[in-house]
This record gives sequence, structure tokens and C-alpha cells, in this order.
Amino acid sequence: MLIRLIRYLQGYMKIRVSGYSPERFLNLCKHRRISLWGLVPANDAYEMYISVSGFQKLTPILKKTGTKVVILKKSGIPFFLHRYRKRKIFFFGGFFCLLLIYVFSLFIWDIQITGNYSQTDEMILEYLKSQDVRHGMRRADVDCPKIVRELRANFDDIIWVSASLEGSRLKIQVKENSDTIKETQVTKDTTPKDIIAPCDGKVSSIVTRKGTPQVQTGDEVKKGDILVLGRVDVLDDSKTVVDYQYQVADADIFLETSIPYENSIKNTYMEKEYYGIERKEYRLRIGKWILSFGSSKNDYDKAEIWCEKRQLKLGKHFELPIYLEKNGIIPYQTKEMAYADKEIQKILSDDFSRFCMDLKKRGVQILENDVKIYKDNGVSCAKGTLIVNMPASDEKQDTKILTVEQKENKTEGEP
Amino acid sequence: MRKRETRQQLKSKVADMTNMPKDVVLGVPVLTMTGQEELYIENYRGILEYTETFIRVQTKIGNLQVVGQNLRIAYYMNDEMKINGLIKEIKYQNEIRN
Repeated sequence: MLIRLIRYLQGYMKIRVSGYSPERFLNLCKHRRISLWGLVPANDAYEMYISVSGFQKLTPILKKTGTKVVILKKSGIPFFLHRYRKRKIFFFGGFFCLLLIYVFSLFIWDIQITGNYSQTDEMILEYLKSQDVRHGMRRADVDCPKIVRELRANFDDIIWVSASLEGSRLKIQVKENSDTIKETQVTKDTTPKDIIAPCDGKVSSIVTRKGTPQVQTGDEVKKGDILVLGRVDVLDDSKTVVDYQYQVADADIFLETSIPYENSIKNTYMEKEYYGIERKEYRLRIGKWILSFGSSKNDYDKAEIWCEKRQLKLGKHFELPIYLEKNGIIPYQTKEMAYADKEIQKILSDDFSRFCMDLKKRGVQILENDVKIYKDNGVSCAKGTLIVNMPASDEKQDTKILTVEQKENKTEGEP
Repeated sequence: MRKRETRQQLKSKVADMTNMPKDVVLGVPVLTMTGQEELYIENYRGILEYTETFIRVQTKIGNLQVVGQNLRIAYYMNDEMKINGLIKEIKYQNEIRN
């Protein structure tokens, strides 16, 4: 294959050698190191292929052997160029093509990032952009060691970076530190806190982990009442308070309480009636220049307007300022329609089910509900009360700090 | 003629003793055949005759005849030639006795 290509580039021809002793011609060619190939006997002559340079050395051999040579076919690049030498635009096109390839090879057309899991390509590209490393930049301006240093410095979880140029592609390989778990930056508030009631209700259960419980199961509480105190009394043998310990109160408390529910909808709704018309417009946007086909002009009061926009990319990330846009309008008019009773019931029931689901997700147990649907004056509403058992451990307030006045005296009195 | 034979014998003995390849020392042809359809000939002097069914090649130790069908010389260079086609027979003429 390679030999064929070289022969084609150098040019070769098919010749016929005839005369008294063509074998002698062959032997002399061999002797003078002129390579021949594809030898075929043809009556009293031989046909063969010979390179252009070999053919130029044939004259003395032909004289010596008294043979004749006829050129049957010429092939290869030198003959091709000679044949089309007058087609100047063709040659100019070829030259221009080579020039373009050369010019384009001076720029970076693709940035390939591999090995990243938590940091997305977009994040890394955005950062590189801020460091003036972008698609379309000159290849000579790329400073790989600098890119490596900056990426390492900016992304903490990237532990290894390699940047290399492969033709007009900047290849960035990274390795992220997957072993360490990110430490959550939650700073624990250690200020003493009380747990207070978020609403009125009855304590249905209380399990205290930290703090002093102020209520018992079955107690009625009002909104804002302290349920668990963040202050723990330190008593001596005579049950006298000698000190206080403060902490963030922690407990599992459930309050039985009632929640009002109300949801209303109109008995009528607007329905769209389409005219059966749709207008489409196709646009080619190159920078500020727009070429559009069709029209999406809207003469109607009401219309659905939609738009699709696609930006052309060279490779995976290199965005070109060329957009393909598709716009459309679908005009319609509205008509007032009334819901059927069943539809109203379904809508309100579905809304209520969703409300209940939300409560359950928050850990609220629904004990009882008396929600009913009422319909009057063009409006339907679902109204009622839910008796629920809800968690009440999240509402907190700062604990009041007390000082023990007799502390000094008490400690002095101890043996 | 006798002198030449003696020289050949001497060269052959030297090649045997020194374990050197005989094609280099004696200049005898080397034939490499792949199946029945490809034949490479090295160390030849020239072609004496060439048709589609018969090729006669001159070598240092005599003429080499290749008989077959559709014989083609794929290439013909200073040190090697390749013959394609269905090769039926290869034989030496005018053998020189060692």
C-alpha cells in the first residue's frame, strides 16, 4: 500500500518494450537498478510498469539493445498536475485549502476534560474562561503548567491535573479526591435553648433527652409555653439548687391539636378553543444578522407562543454564534365552561389528599377530620377541621440564664 | 572449467567450516516459495526467456526453469524478483557439479 502510494506520488508509466531481445533490456534495467513491476509478456514484446525516474535512464539501454519503447499509460501526481496545469482556480483552491488547514491548526478548537465526577465540565470550563483559556484561543498562548497550577489551586478536591495539547485539542485530565467525605460546615449553636409549643394543644407524648421537662402527657399547653427547659437544676442533699447547667433542650414531643382546612374553587373555568391555525417562523441567526423564513406575527388577542432555539457547536463545547430558531403561534379564544359536580368533588378531594400527604411527610399523624364540601354562589369549597398529632420539638427559644446567689454560702457550709 | 570447479569446492568447504550462509559465499540462488502461487528468486543474473507458461532465469550455477500457468513477474529488481501464477515445475539446467 505504501509502495503504491509512493509510486503514485512520484509518477509511473506503463510501457511496451519490443525488438530483437527484450530480455536483454530487462537484464540491463536490473543491472542499472531500474525497478520494473507488473511484467507481462505480450506476443513478441513485454509490457511493464516503470517509474518516471527509471524511464529517464532508459535511452542508453534502448540504444544498446536495439529495442523500442512505447508508452501505453501515464499515471501519478506529476502527470495529473501537468494535465490540469491551466486550471488556476483549482490549484488556488488546493493551496487555499492547505493554508486554511494550517491557519486553523494554530488555534484551540476543543477542550476535553476527563476524570471529573463532582466538578462538572461546565464549572471547569467556566473557571478556565475566567483565566483566559477558551475555545478559539491561539495554540501558542496556551500555558499548560499554568493551567495545571491554577486548577489545583482553585479546586480543592482535584488532587492531580494534567494539561496537554493534542493537535488543536487541549486535553485536561483530572483526578478528584474521592476518599475524603466533605466536612459539613454546620456550626453547632451551643446557646442554651428551651423547646416551646408551636401551637395550642394537648401533650400526647413526651420523651426528654436533654433539659428539664415542664409538661406531662395529657397537659394542655398554649402557643409559646415552655415544654422542655434548657436549664437543669443541680441540687445538693437538701434538695436546694446549688447550680444550673445549661444546654440545648432535646426531646420528642407530640401535641394533639386541631388544624383548620379551607380550599375553594370557582364552579366555572375558561376553556381554550383553537382556531386550527398555527404560524411558524424559522430563523437563522448569525451574530446580529437574522435570516427568517415564514412569519410568526400575532394579530389575535390570545395565542400560545412557543419558541425553540438551538446553538450550533463545534465539537462538544465550542459554541458558535450561530442559532437555529423556530418560533410559532397558536391563536385561540376562551369560552366559559362549568364544572360538573363530580369534577368539583374530584378536584377538591385531590387537593385535600395532597394536603394530607404533605402533613404526613412532616411527621404529622391525622387522627380525625370533618372536612366537607359546600357549594354556593358559583364557588365550591372544602372546609373543616383536622385533629392531628404533630411533632413539636423544633420551635425553640433562648433559655433564661439565672444566677445562684447562695452558691457561695452553700459551698462554704459543706464539710 | 576445472579450475572454476575447484574454486567452488573450496568455497563450499570454507562456508561449511565457518558456518557462513552459502548464498553469500557461493552466490547461489535462493528460492522462496509460498504455496504453489508465489516464488521469490534472489541472487539471479537475468532473464533469458519469459512467457505465460515458462520462465528461464540465469543463475550462477546454471539456468533455472519455472513452468506453470499465467506466470507473471510481479517485480523485477536488482536483488530479487517475484513470480506469481500457478507454478507446476522448477528445475535446473546445465548443473555444475560440486
